Amino acid sequence: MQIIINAQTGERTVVAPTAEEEEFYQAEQADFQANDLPKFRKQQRAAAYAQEADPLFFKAQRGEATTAEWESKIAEIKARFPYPGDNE
Amino acid sequence: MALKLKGSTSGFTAIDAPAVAGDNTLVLPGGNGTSGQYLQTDGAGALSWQTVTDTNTNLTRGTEIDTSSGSGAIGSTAVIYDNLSSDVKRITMIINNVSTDNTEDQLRFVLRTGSGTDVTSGYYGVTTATTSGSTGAYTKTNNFPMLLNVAAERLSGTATFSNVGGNRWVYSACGAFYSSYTFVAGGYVELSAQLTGIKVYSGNSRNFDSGSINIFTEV
Repeated sequence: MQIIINAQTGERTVVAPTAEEEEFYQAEQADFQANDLPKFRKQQRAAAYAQEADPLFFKAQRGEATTAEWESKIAEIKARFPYPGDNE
Repeated sequence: MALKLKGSTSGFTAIDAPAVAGDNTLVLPGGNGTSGQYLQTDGAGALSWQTVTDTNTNLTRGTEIDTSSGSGAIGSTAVIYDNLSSDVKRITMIINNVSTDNTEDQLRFVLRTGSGTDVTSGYYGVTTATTSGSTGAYTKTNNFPMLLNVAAERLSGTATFSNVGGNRWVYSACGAFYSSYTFVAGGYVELSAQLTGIKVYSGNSRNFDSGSINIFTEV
């Protein structure tokens, strides 16, 4: 549903979207799932990799952590920030 | 030739005509006016006291929609402000702790013309999300985007839409969401007709379930 507020009078009306509006919303939703969300999730992953996984990688290089711990963190970050069509 | 009025103790005050004076008569008003008033001419020589008008336009508060109090927006995918004044020059929307009933979402805006027709093309809208370590940008041509993410977190910020001449509107927004993310957004659109309304809606077709949205207009 949509709520329409008359900016002059404050009157509120609840209306169902028109067929054209519904079509627009569905297109927006598809665009969100196909484009925006994957982009956003990649950003979140990138930040998490830098903050959480990369230190483990360098620790593993120095022998202060295991490669398995680093790989586990990578997997955990991917699971935390999933997105449609994830192939990374 | 100047008319000099001599001071009772010393000096004088003179009223003089320009070198090429023409033939003009200025008629003073009858009273002394009040503090702060100025003399105004009617163009025909009659002067009168006038009060300075404050030309600043105060914000006009529109209707607040509280998405958490069951006032009607609960369960609504979109909130539309219609019947905007024809002389509105700037619209400010306050987004207060808004979330939707889904973990993945974005708020978006479309402008409206005529008797409620959404303008769904011609936008140059960009938003960026920034957190420590990353910044990303999203470009939209069919709306003005504003970010929102998980339902457990909420978006707060301000969006302004400014008329810069004709039917051209400039969008700018900033705010924060998802604990550590901030966003900055902007863009513009050239409408083919006068703006009559604005719609804020979920990019993922989800319903509002908390927060409030308020609109202010300036003419």
